[in-house]
Amino acid sequence: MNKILKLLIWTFILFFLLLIVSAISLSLGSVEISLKDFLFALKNKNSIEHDILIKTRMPRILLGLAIGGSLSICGAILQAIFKNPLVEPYTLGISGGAGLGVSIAVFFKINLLFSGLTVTLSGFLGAMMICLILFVIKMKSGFKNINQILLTGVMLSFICSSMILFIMAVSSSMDLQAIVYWIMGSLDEPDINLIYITLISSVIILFVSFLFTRHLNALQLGEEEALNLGIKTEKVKKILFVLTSIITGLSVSVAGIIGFVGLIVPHFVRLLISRDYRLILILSFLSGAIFLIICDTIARTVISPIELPVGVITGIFGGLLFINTLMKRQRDL
Amino acid sequence: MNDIILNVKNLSCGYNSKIILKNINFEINKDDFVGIIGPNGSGKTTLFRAINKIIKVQKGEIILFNKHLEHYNRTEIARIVSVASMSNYNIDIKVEDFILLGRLPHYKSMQIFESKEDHDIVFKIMEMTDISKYNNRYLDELSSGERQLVVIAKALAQEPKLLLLDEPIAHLDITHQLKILDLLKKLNKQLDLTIIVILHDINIASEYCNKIIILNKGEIYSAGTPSDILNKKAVKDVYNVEAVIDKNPLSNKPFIFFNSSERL
Repeated sequence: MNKILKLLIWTFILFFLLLIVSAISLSLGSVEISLKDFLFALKNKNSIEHDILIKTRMPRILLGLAIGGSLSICGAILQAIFKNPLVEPYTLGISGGAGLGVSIAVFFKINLLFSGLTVTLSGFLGAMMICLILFVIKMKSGFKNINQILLTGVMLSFICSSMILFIMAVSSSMDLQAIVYWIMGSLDEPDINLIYITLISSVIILFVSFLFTRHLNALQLGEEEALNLGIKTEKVKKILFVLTSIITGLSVSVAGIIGFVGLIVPHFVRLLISRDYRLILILSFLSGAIFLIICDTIARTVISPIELPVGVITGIFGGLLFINTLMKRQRDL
Repeated sequence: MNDIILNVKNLSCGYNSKIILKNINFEINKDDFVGIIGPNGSGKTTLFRAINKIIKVQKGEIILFNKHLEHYNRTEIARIVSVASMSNYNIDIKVEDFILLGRLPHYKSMQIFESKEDHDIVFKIMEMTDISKYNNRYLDELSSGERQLVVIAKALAQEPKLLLLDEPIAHLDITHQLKILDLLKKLNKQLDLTIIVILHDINIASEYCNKIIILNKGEIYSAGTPSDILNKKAVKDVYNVEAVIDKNPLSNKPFIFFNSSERL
C-alpha cells in the first residue's frame, strides 16, 4: 500500500516539475517571452511568438521528454539485466553502430540523394545491425553468460568508433562537420512526425517495462535467486534486451549520441528515492525528461545565439551534480 | 504411513558436459528433516540445483509431489520448493522489501504491487522468525547471523512445501547456529514443512536430522538415520579422518570425536 502511495506522490512531484521546467524552457531563448506574454502568445494564433513557441520550442521539449525518458528507462533496465551499475544504453555499441551508419551515409553522400530522413534511417539501421550481431552471438552462447555479451558489446563499440574515426580521417571538411555535428547530439529535429514516433515509442516502453518490474526486482538479487523466485530469466532478459535495443537505436538515430542521461538518471533515482524497480522506471522516465530539457535549455541559451551541443551539457552538468549527490550519500550503489 | 514427496531415481546431472552427480537414488517423506553432508565438491549444491530444476537432469528422473519435474514450469516449482542459499547479498534493500520478494511466485500474472495478504503473510513470518525488529534496517547492515534469519524468512514467504537450505549455519557462532536450527525444527513440526539442509557439522546434523544423506564424489555413500550411518568407517572413507563415535549423553544421538593427525 505504502509503496503505491510513495510512487504516486513522487510521480506527482516530478510531473509538476516537468511542467514547470517545460514552461521555463518555452519562455527562454533568443526571443524572450515573459510569463504574461506567454499565455497571450499561446492563445493568439497569429502572433510571431505563437509560431516560435509552438513550431520551434515545443517540438524540442517534446523530443527532450521522449529521448530523456527513453534513455533513462533503458539505462535502468540494462543495469538490472547486467547487474552492473556502469552499464548505460550506449555500452553495448548501439550508439557506435548508429554513428557508423550515419558516417557511412554522409561519406557516400547517400544523405544528399534522398530526403532528410536518410541520416536518421541509416543511423537506425546501423544500430539494429549491432543489435542483430549481439543477438546472434547470444543465441549461440545463451543468455546465461551475460558478461560475455556485455564485453562483446563494448568491443563492437570500440570497433565502430575506430571505423568512424577512419571515415572522418578520409572525409572532406564539410562531411566531417556533418558527422561531428550528428555525433555530438542535438534535440533539433525538423521532422515533427519523427518526434511523435519517438514520443509514442517512449511511452510504449514505459508501459511495457512496467509489467516487468517484478522480474527486474528479482534480477537485482542475481540470476539464480531470480530463478528460485520463479522468474524465467532467459526469456525476460531476451524480451527486455530487444526492447531496449530498439528504443535506444531509435533515440540515437533521431537525436544523435546524447551521453550520460541513461547512466546517471537511474542512479539518481536509486540514491534519492528507492531501488524498487516499480518506482525506478516511472520516476527515471520523468527525471530523465526533466534533466534533458534543462540541459537542452542551457545548451541553447548560455551563449546564445550560438547553440552548444546538448551532450556537452549533460556530461558536465550531470557529472558534477552526480558527484555532489554521491558525496552526500554514503550508501552503496 | 508416510507419503513420499520427493523421489530421486538414478539421477545423473552436472554442468554442460561435466557430470557432477552420478546415479543418485533417494526418497524423502513428508515432514522429514534431512541433512546432506559430505566434503567440499561432493555435489551437495548441485543436487539442490537439480531438485529446483535450475540445471537439467541428464539421466534418471526426479518426481516431486507425484509429478515429474519436467512437467513443472518455473513458477510452479517456486510455489512448492524454495531455496535459502547463503550467497552474500551485499545489496542495500530494506529487510521487509527483501522478504516481500519471496511473494513473487504467488503474484497473479498482471500483479505489480503486493496485496494486503502478501503483507500479512510477511508480517507473520517476520514474527515467527523473530526478525520484526530489523524491519526498517538494510540487509547489508545486518550481522551474518541476523542476515541468515532474513534469508530464511524470504524463503518461507514463498510458502514452500519443501525448503532447501544451503549451509544455513556456516560462519555462525554456536548461539546463532542453534537458534537457526531450533527455528527450522519448529517450522518442520508446526508447519509440516519438509526440510533438506546442507550441513558441514556432522554432530549438528546428527542432533537435528531424522535422516542423513552422505554424499561423496558425486555419489551417495550412505543414507539413513544418524545412528545407522554415522560410524568410524564412514568418516574415514568420506573425509579421510580418524574418529571415535560415542553418544551425546543428552540426546543419545551419535557424536563424533575427531583425532588430529599429530596424535596418531
